[in-house]
Amino acid sequence: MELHRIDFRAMASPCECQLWCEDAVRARTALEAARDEVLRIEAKYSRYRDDSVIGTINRGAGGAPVRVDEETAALIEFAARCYADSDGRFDITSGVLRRAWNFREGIVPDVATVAALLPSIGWDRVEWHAPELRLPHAGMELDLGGYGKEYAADRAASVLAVHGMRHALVNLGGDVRVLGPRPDARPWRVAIQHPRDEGALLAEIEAHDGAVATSGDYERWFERDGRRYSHVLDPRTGWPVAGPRSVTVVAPLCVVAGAHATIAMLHGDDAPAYLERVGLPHLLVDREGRVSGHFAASAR
Amino acid sequence: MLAAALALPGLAATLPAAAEAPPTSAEFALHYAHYQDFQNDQQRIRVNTPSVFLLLPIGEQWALRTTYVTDAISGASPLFHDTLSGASGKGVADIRRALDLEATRYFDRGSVAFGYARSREDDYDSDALRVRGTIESADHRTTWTLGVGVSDDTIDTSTSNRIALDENRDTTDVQFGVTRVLTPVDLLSASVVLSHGTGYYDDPYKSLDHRPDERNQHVLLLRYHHHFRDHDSTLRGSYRWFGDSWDVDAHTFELEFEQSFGDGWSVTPGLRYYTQSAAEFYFDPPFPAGFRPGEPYSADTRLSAFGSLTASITLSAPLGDGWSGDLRFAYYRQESDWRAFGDGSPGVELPAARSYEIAFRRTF
Repeated sequence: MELHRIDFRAMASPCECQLWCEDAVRARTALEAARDEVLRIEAKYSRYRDDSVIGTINRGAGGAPVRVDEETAALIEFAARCYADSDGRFDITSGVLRRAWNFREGIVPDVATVAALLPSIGWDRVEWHAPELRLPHAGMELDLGGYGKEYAADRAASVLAVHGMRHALVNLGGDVRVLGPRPDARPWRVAIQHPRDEGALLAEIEAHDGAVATSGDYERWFERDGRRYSHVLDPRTGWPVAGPRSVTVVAPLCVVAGAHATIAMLHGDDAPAYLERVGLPHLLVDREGRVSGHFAASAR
Repeated sequence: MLAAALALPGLAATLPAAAEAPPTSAEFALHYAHYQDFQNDQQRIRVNTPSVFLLLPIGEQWALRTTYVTDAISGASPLFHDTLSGASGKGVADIRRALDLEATRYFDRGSVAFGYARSREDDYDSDALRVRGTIESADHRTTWTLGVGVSDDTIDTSTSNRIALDENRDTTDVQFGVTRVLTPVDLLSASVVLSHGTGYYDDPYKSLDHRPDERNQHVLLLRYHHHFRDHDSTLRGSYRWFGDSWDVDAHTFELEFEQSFGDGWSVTPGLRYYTQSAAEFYFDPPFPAGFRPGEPYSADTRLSAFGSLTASITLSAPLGDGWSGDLRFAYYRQESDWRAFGDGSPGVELPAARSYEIAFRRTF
């Protein structure tokens, strides 16, 4: 068996799929189908495209309910579950905070600007009677970006499975989904990015199956007056949550790993207690840089 | 959250099946079965079977399972077996006490179970030992099973008709099986059991019953389960082929459909068809002209060619406070004409039976 791979760019991230297969033609067909699936999801749920499902919903804010297809309905149901399980921390209506927070410019918004956005945030305000959804007033937005990449990783793995692949890995910008071990039965080795030392590795996780997702405060952030402002924004206050530098979660599905990692970050310094309750294998770097969790022993 | 994620289209199919995991909680169950068969509208054998089951996890990797059963059998044995002796009407009353112990050690990708079974009746004692190992493929979708067992049975009717005095029978069996999770909703399994037995096989309560002192048996069992996710129901189908060195060939087809209604409620109707050919030394009563002393001979209709149908329905319900219960009713009917092959015993009236079972379970 030989290793085959495809690299591409999607969802503003470098992406790759790797798989072991005897037949180069079958491998190529499967890899291209997996990539196309990722691109399909990107196009369907992009908030930048007016013709996307999200574009249609957001344009209809304050108007009549929008009827969504089955896949979108399942994604919205998943988000509703996460919202309930996280006491409102995981919220697909929080994207409007983008209007106040510009991490590229690095300007701290004033309190009034952030507060003015809060009435437009809150999943509990959304009228969701599957399959119909209505954003009750103009200015509200839905954004599935918080877990779209993870969902795409799982879907790409499904496509590879349908093509008969049994030894494959999908990595969409750090959200990793594994489909069976390598042909010699050894696990795939997933390196975890160091949250402060770019280019350095924090730890290595071995995965036969399942998913590894990491959430960190280092993706988008700026420092002003000695304070670090990260993109980990609490939708209930509109302000960044100070807490772990990074959280990595291992779960059967990438959407699950990713959601738990995100929610743990939003718990701030209570993240260890949250992860303990969840019970999934994890790795956490707290605000002081201390490493804890199941893979802490392998961290360097 | 995982449940909501599994509802996302296409994701569930990529998950590996769960490995056989050591039990994490103890379980206690009480079971009671009542069986009544009848022939010519006369009630014959009644069997009442209470049993107790206990499962105890020990440490992280071991589990102990114990079953204790008592059978109280009362009533007449089948009428036609006594056409020659004239001893008809002598009631059978017997109590069986049986204990089964099994200790299982679980590993990352498999398990090994050690079992001991012991059964005691007035005229029949049995002791059996078994070892069974399972091993799973790296993706946990395939499980192979290999088992061996030995049993030592003693038949002694010295307290009744004194026909069998400390007679013995030894049996050895091996089994091999493979179970494959085809998709998260489809499961296929196949197993083969081969057994070799030597010793006393006669029925000491039947006149002139004499059977070969060796019996080799083989069983092939195929099972298929399909879960209908949209309807929360499961279809279970199985086929079993049995054959032995006495020329008995038997086929069993079974279908069960379990419909869940949520919160632990479910209803399961089932239908089973069974057919067998006669043993080469089976003769229909009355006593045949060709009988030669010393040669195998039996008029036991359980060795005749016949077919049977069993219809059953099971209701499962949550009983609160960690308890759940099952109620099962079954009706069984056996007819010579329902056989699929071989000669039957057209003149013989075969039994029908009703049974009900009730079970209570609690996990701790």
